[in-house]
Amino acid sequence: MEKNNTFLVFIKKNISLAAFVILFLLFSCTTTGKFLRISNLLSVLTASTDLLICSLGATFIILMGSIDLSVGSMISLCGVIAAKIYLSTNSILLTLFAAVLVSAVCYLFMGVIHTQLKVPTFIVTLGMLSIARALVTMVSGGSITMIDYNGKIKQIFGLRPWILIIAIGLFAAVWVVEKFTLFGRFTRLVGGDENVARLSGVNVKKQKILVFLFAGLLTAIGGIVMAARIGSGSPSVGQGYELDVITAVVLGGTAQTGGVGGVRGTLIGVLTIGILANGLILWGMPSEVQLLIKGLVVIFAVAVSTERKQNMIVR
Amino acid sequence: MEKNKSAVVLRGLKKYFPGTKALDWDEDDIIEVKAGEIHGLVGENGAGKSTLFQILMGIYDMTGGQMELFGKPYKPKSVYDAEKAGLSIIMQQPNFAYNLTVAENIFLGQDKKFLNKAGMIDWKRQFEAAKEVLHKFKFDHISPTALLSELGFEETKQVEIARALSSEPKVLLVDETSAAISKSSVDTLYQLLKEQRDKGCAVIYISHFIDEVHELCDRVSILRDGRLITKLEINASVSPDFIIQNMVGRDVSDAVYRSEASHSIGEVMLKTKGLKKDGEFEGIDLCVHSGEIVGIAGIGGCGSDSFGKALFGYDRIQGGEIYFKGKPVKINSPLEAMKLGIGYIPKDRDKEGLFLIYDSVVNISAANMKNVSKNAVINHRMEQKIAVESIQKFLIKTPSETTSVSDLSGGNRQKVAISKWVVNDSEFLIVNSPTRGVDVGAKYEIYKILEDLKNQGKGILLISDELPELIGMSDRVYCFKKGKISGEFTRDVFTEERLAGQMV
Repeated sequence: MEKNNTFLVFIKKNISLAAFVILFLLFSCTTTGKFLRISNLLSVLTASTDLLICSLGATFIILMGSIDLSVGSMISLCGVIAAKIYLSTNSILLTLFAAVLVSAVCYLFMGVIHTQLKVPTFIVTLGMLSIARALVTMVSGGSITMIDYNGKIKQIFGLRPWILIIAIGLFAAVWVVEKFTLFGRFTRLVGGDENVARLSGVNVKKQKILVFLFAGLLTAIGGIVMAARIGSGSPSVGQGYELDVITAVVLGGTAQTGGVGGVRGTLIGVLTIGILANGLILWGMPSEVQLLIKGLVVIFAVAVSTERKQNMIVR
Repeated sequence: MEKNKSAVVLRGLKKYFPGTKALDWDEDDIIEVKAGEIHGLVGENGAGKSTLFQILMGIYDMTGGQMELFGKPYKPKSVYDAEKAGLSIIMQQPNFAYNLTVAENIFLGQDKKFLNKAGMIDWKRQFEAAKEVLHKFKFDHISPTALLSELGFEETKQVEIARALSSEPKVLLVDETSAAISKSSVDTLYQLLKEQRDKGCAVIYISHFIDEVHELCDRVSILRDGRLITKLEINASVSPDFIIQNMVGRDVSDAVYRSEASHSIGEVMLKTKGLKKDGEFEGIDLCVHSGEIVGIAGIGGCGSDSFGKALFGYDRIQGGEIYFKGKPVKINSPLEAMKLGIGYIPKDRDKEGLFLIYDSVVNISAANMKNVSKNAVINHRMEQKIAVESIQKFLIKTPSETTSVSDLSGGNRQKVAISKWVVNDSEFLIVNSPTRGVDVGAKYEIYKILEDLKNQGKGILLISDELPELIGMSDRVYCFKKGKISGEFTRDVFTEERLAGQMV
């Protein structure tokens, strides 16, 4: 009984890991070996890189008790800007700089509006979802900007092995930031209880703005990776992407109420979504069914992992 | 209703929380409240009075014991059950939907009474009914259409009284109401309570003001540390002092609090001049020396809570000056206060002092991140070491330093909250009600910690509404009354009567 209990607690705490293992075994057994092919697994990883990078930033925002709905529009904006700048300058550094700058300005704007005018992040980022989509349509004139397959930007940000090295490197760096730095701790304290954080001498406003900037940086890189991976900067890419990001973070065990979770869980969440999408394609499922199952998985995962006794009020 | 009939019988009540026994009566302990009497319930903080009310109202389950209501077993599962059974409560902190009108609040949950034929609420009828209720209790100055959030504290309280009485309860619970309202309102309340009694209602009345209890109640039950101590019939031979003796149950001598030594007192550390915040306090001139414990006494709403917060930069002051170690300072945020070396141990430790979802390590180092990090990188081992040391030093009972503080009892949580401001070497501590909701054992350990801090030369401002604590711990006490200092006493001259005389 006792053992059984600890096992259940472990599963509840690591629901995304359990889901990952189950799905992995399921697809391994039911796809006549197609799923387990090295080339397939590598392509799953490659296809998950941009989602991972964006979800790293979103994990910090959600850890802080906030939410970012603008990320889908933002990666599109960053991708188009990157593609355009690269086309005209051929410089990776300038491209990076431009995308990061635009993203930082947008996220700074959101952070400042949220903290100074006390507009909830749900609303601010919802507004930015439209604003950034409008901006990208204006900047691009509604057409895509191709990225040359032989260009350096494609080689580094869009193809193996570099794309994997970048993603893994960023993950490790963000994990270190979360675990070992004051920045990570203060984020957690604000998410744990904003009031107590302020009374403990945390500059809550500053911290919130910094976390938004941090997420902006990661979103910019995510946008470049996305554009390089698909081979173009497109004003229509990333619609509904914010839902994938939130799904990955929440599936990874970061609570929307803030304070609990972290990027390690997010990594598993991203990979779970990755193999789920891949496995369903191998099964020959149409895309609407994939969407349906993705929705069910996230609801079910949260339902199982939530300790209901402690959450009297669920909003 | 028949008088002198037994209304409520409570037998052998027990209510255990993790780590603390809020109520722990013997099996054969009985309180019987009769219809048509006002029954006083007295005891110090932590005696279990409020817990008892919450059990009666169906908010908590009992761990053990039985209750009877008019001869029938009574075990409410919710407030709804309790209200249906004829109970009603006037609480210490009124519980309202502040975004709704007075009328809606009075009839909260009774909307069905006012449905018209179309199944919609007949607002006009509800307003009329509310007006009638308010008129009945002479609260005509309150408009039934006003939003609750527009009312002052006293009016809010009156709405609560009207709401509680409007249901014509058979059993009325009143929790320390008079602490929060003015003298004339108190008189009105007493009049109403007496009317209820004469109508045959059983009134159970909790108060800290023993004179009032003595004057108003027919009988008194005394609780202490969760136990039922005694029951008294109020008559000429029972004096208020006798009640207090039973309530405290120990010699309130200074020895249990601290030694008389005062050699630790040094230079002036903190001084305020004409400190002011609208609606809270004004013209506050006081000073605290290093190595001195200075108490602030006052009843709820006297401005002392807000004053403590303002000194820590959590509330903004609107005028006056603060001097810290002789220099004029501006304190606009807790961060600025901390940089000066000021710490704040709040009254509501769960909402303001602790991150309940985190463990002792994170909580204890939350205000000490500068010292446990280098170049923005946290030294986890140092952090852990400091937490373990605090746990040992302050006898914090916890399975381990990585146990979430929400699993600790009130007293141990408070010690964690105090540790947080000790480890970061704060020189000046604002301490608000440090033993609120803390069991007796932990209480004296906390007093010991405060005395040690004093002897280390730290300045301590102790805000409290418990007089024995202030008298036992302070070198000097300021009395607050309606936002102003109404008296100052040094250790050699203060007594409970003297302080109380300046507070109300």
